[in-house]
Amino acid sequence: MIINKTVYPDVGSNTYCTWSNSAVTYDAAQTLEHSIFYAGSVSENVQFCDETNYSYDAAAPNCNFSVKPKAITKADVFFINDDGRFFNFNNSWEFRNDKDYNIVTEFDISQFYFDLNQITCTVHDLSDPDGGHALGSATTMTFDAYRSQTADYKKTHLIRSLSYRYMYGDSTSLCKYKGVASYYDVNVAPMIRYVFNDKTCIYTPVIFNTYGLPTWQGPVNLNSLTASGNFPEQNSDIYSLVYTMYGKWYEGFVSGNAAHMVTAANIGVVDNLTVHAANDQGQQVTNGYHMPDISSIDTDKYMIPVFIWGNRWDKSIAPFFTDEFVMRYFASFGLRFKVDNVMYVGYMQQDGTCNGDYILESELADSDSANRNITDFSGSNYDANVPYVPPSPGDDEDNTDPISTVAAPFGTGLAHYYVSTVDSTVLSQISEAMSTWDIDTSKKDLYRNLISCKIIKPPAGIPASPSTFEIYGVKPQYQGADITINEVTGNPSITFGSYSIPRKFNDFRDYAPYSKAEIYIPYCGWTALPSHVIGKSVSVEYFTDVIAGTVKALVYCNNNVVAEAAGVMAVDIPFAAENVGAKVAAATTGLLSYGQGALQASAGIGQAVVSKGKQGTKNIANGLASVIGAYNQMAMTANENWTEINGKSGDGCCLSGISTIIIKITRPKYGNFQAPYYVPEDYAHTTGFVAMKKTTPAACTGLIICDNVDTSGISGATDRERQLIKEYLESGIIVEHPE
Amino acid sequence: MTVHLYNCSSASNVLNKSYSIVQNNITAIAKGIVDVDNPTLLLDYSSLDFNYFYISEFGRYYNVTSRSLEQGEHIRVTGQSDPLESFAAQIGSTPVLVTRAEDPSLRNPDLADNAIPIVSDIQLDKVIGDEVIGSGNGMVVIGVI
Repeated sequence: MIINKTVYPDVGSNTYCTWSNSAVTYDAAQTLEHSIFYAGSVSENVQFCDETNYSYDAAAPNCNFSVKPKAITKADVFFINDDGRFFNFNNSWEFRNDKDYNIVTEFDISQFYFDLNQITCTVHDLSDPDGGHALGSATTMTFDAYRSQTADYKKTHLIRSLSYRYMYGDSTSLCKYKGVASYYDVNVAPMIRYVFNDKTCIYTPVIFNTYGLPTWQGPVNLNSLTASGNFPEQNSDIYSLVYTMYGKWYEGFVSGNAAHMVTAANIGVVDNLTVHAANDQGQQVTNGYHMPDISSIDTDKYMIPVFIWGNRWDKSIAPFFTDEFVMRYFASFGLRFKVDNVMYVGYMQQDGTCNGDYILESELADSDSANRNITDFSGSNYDANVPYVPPSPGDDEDNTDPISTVAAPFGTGLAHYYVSTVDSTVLSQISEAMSTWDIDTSKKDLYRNLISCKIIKPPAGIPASPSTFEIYGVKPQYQGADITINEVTGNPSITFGSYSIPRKFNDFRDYAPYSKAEIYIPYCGWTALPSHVIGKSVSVEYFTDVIAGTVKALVYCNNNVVAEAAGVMAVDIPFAAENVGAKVAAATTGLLSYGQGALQASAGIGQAVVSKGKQGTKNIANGLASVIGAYNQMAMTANENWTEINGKSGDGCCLSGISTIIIKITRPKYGNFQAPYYVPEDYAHTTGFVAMKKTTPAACTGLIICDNVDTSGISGATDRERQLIKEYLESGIIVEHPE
Repeated sequence: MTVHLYNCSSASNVLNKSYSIVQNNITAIAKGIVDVDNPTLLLDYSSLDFNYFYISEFGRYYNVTSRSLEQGEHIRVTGQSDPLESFAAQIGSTPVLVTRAEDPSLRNPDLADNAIPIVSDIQLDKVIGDEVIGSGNGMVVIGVI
C-alpha cells in the first residue's frame, strides 16, 4: 500500500495533464470504497530529481521497477475531485489547474509503504548503496494480500516513508526533491489539506479502517475520531508526539518554528491520543479541525498538513520537501518519549532534515538543533516568531562540569517518622490514640513516645515505606484497630516540575545585566536565578527534612544546581505540657479502676481455673468487664483533652501562600523595535550587528566593519592606497555583488 | 592616455561599485606631471555627464573631484584614486576580522552590542508552574521514639 506524498500539481496556467487508467484491477467487492490503492507502474512525465533518486536493486525480490525509477508511476498518485474526494481508482481522471476546475490545487500527504500482511515487506534503506529499492511489485501489491487479510490481523507496518515532490507540465523542470526514509512500526494517519481556488481549504484525515487500510472519511472533527481496532501495539514509552514545521515561501529556512505536540493523555492507549491540526501560524489547534483563513496568504504561509495518530513511533520521521522556486518546507516529526525517566525529542538538523537522531529534551534548547527553540512542550506557549539562534559557546559550557547533589539518607537514631495523609478517619484515630492512656507497656504508648507531630502540605506525597504504626486505642470503637501509616525511611526528595524560560531577544540582552530571572518557590519565597537559564529549562526539586519540618529547594538547569532556597514546610501541631499533666491525673482514676478490674479478673480467672465450672466462666466475664470498664473510664477522662491536639496551619503549610512556582523574567522593553532583532530601523545597514568573525569581504554582503586589517597582501597598491583600503575596511565598507 | 568615463551611483565606501558606461576610450592629454593618485587630465570630451573614470595605463579607477570646461570643448578633470574599486578583487579575498556586519548570518548574538539602545523601561514576563502544592489536606508526620 502506498500513499503518495507531496503532490503539488502546480500546473501552469491553462495547462492540464491527463492520465489513463492503469492496468491494475481490483476486486470492488473486497475493496472498501475510497481506499487508496497502489497500482502498477505506468510512467508519466513526472520526474524524481537526481538528488534523491533511489536506485533499483534488480536482484531484490518484489521490486516494482524494472528500471531506475526516474519516472514516477501515475498509479502512485491518488486524486481527489472537486468535492475533495478521491476519484474512483478504476476510472480515468484528469487534473486541471484551478482556472478550469474548482478542484484541489494542492494537497500533501505522506507517502507510506505499507505491508499489510507482511508478505511483501522489504525494509528500504536509503543509506544502502542501492539507495533502497521499491516496494513489492504491482502483482504482489494488488489486493490478494488485502483479501487475505483478516480482521484479526491488526498490525500495520509502515515500512518506508519517502518524501518527494514532483510537478507537472511546464513546471517539471523546477522541481527538486529531498527525502528521507526510516523504518517504523507505527500507525500514522496523514492529513490532507485541500486548498480550493476560492482559497478555502479543508483538512481531511486519512483514517485507517479495521483492516489497517487508510480510508477516506471526509472532513471530520478531529476530536471525534476514535481509533478502531487497527492500532495493535501499545507502548508505554510513548509520551507525546511532536512535530515541528518550518515554512517560508521563497525566503527559505529559518523563518521561525512552530512546535506541536500530540500528547497521549493516557499514555499507551491509542484511543486517547489527541489529534491536532494547526492554524496558519503553525499553532496547535486542539478543538476540532481547522479551517484556516488563507485569504491573505500569498507568499508566506505555513502549511501544516499532517496529523499524527498512532501508538508507537520508533524513530523520527522527517518528511520535508524543497523547491527552490516555489517554497520550502522543513518539518520534523518525532516522538517525545521517555526512557528510564529521561525525556528525548527528535533532533532536527540545520538543513531542516532529520536523521532519526534524538536528543535529550533537557539539552534541546542548548543544542544546535534547528528545532532548538522548542523549549515549551505545552503545545501553545511557544513563540513562532523566534528566529533561529545559532548556538553560542557559552551554551554548552555549563554542561561540562555539572554540580550534582546527592541526598544522602539521614539517620534518625531511635526516632521513627511516619507520614499519613490528612484523612479524617486516620486523624481521628491518631488524635484519639494520642490522647489515650495505654497502661499496657507492651503496647505503644504514643503519647509518651511522641516527639513531634507536624502537618505538611508537600507538592506531592512524601515517599515512605509501608509500615504499620501500631497505635492501640482503648476507646471501644478503636479497640484492636491499628492505624496503618507509612514510615519515612530516607531523605525524601520531590520534583516539582520543569519550566521553560523563554528568550525574547535571542541575543545578549536576554542575559545579565539586561535581563534577570527570579523564581518563587513555595515555602521558600523568591530567589534569583542566574540569567543564563533564560532560554533553557529549569526544574525544581524539594528535599524535605521531616525532623525539622524544613525544606530545601534546588533549582536545576542542565543537571546543574543553579539556585537554592530554603524554607519551612511543616507546621507543628502544638502540645501543651499541662495537657500531659491533665492526662496523667485523669488517667490515675482509670488506673485505679483498671487495677481493681484486673484484680477481679485475675481472681475470676483463677477461680475459673480452679472450679472449671460455670461459675469460673462467670468470674472471668466479670473480671474482663471490670477491665473494659476501667479502660472506658480512663479513655473518657483522657479524651476530654483530645481537641487540644490541634495545630493551626500557617503559611508553612502553604494554606494561604502562593502554591505554584512562578518565574519572573525582567527584560528591557522592546520600545519601537521590531522582531526579529529588536534593533532600530535600518540598524543592520547603518551600524551592523556584532560579528567578530574571520572571513573575507567577498564572502559578505552589505556593511562590514573590520578590525586590524592587514593589507600587505594587496599587490600593486601604493602605501597610500593600502592605507586608504585599511581605513575603508576599518571604518566600514559596503560589499555589493552586482550581477 | 585612454580613459573610460562612467557614471557611478555607489558611495565611495562600496566594494564592487555600480557604474554605467558613459563613454569608453576617451583620449586624455596629461598636463605636466600626472599624479597617479590624483591625476589631472584634459579629456577629448565635452560633456560633464560622468563622475567616475578609469585610466587604462594606471589600471585604476578614480572618483572625479573637479571638472572644468576648457576651450576647444575639452574637459579638464581631476580625479582621486579609488583603491577599493581598483583592487576590489584582492580586497575581496583578503582575510579580515569582521567586527560588525549587516548580514544577520554573521551576527554573533551573544556578544554584547553596545550600539543597540537599551530601553530603560522594563517588561515582565512570567512563567507560572502548572503544578500546585498538594491540593489535598496535606500530610501528617509523626515522630516517635
